[in-house]
Amino acid sequence: MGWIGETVDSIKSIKIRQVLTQAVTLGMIVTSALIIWKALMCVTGTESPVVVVLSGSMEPGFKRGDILFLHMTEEPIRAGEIVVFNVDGRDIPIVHRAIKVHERGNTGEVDVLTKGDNNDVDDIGLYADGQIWLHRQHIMGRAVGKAYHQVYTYRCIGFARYNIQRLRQQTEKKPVVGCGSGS
Amino acid sequence: MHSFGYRANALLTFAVTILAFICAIASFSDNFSNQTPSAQIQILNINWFQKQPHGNDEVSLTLNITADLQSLFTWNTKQVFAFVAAEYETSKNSLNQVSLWDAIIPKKEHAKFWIQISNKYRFIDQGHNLRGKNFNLTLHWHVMPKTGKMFADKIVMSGYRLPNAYR
Repeated sequence: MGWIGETVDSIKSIKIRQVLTQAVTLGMIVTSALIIWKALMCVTGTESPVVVVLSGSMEPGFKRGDILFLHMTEEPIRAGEIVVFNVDGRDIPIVHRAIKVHERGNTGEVDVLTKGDNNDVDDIGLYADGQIWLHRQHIMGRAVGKAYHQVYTYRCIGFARYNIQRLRQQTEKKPVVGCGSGS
Repeated sequence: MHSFGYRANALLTFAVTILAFICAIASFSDNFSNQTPSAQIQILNINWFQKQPHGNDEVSLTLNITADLQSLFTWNTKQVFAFVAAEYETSKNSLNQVSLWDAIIPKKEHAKFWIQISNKYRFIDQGHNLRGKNFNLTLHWHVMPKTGKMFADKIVMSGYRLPNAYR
């Protein structure tokens, strides 16, 4: 390919000032991408505005490799909403649907129980030992939209991470019931 | 400027931009569909109504659910997730929502249905507040698209009441 040869030649004949200019330009591009990402985090209210579905526990609605857009507001979680949550002690967040909601009258705190659409049982087995409800601090966001799942590179990365997590959990002898998603 | 690498890069960027634009338009077109769903729920029987050993009330019901959700399907619909939740208020909790039954409706033909089942998920209270409790049965649906924004809505049916004593 001609452009590789051209690039190598241009690197050989380069001067210091040009090198620095290019380094600064590269830095500007990287930081502006970071600024856009952080702005997106502010607008959507979650740490992870975009996540990838890693397992089949929400099929046929969400397939592995689908990209989900998240949003988080102050409004309390309601039954039927698809939430992305972290369990203490697990790295990968999980995308499942809230099936039971109990909201305290005085504090406004909400107890939530979730279940994957494609799973037979609810998620109590996935929560930490002794935990039977999710609370606001565990929940990262609600899924509000999805992008079509033919995004092949994400699929490969997702599979790799999911399988690594499964292997790790199998050696620790913890049950893995339709795990979740990652960014 | 005219080498293979530059051209491939330009082509790929353009293709991805067009794809994103098409997905956005597909999702936007969902706003124009006319949706007229209908549903009815009947409680045929209270199978049993007990207090569990650690103090929470639990009730088992047989429900008769009739619904027509065909108008929710558009060309951009992947599936409709429908569920029935019992919603009620107690002295400690301002809102309780307990899902009793759910179903995934993959095609428009399956969206008009009649089903008689006992509750798929256990109806357990936080406490023992269910005797004589008035509650609503709400049919919720979530339209999951092939691509784009998800929509959700519900029909609230009120006037249901649990018996005053355990049985």
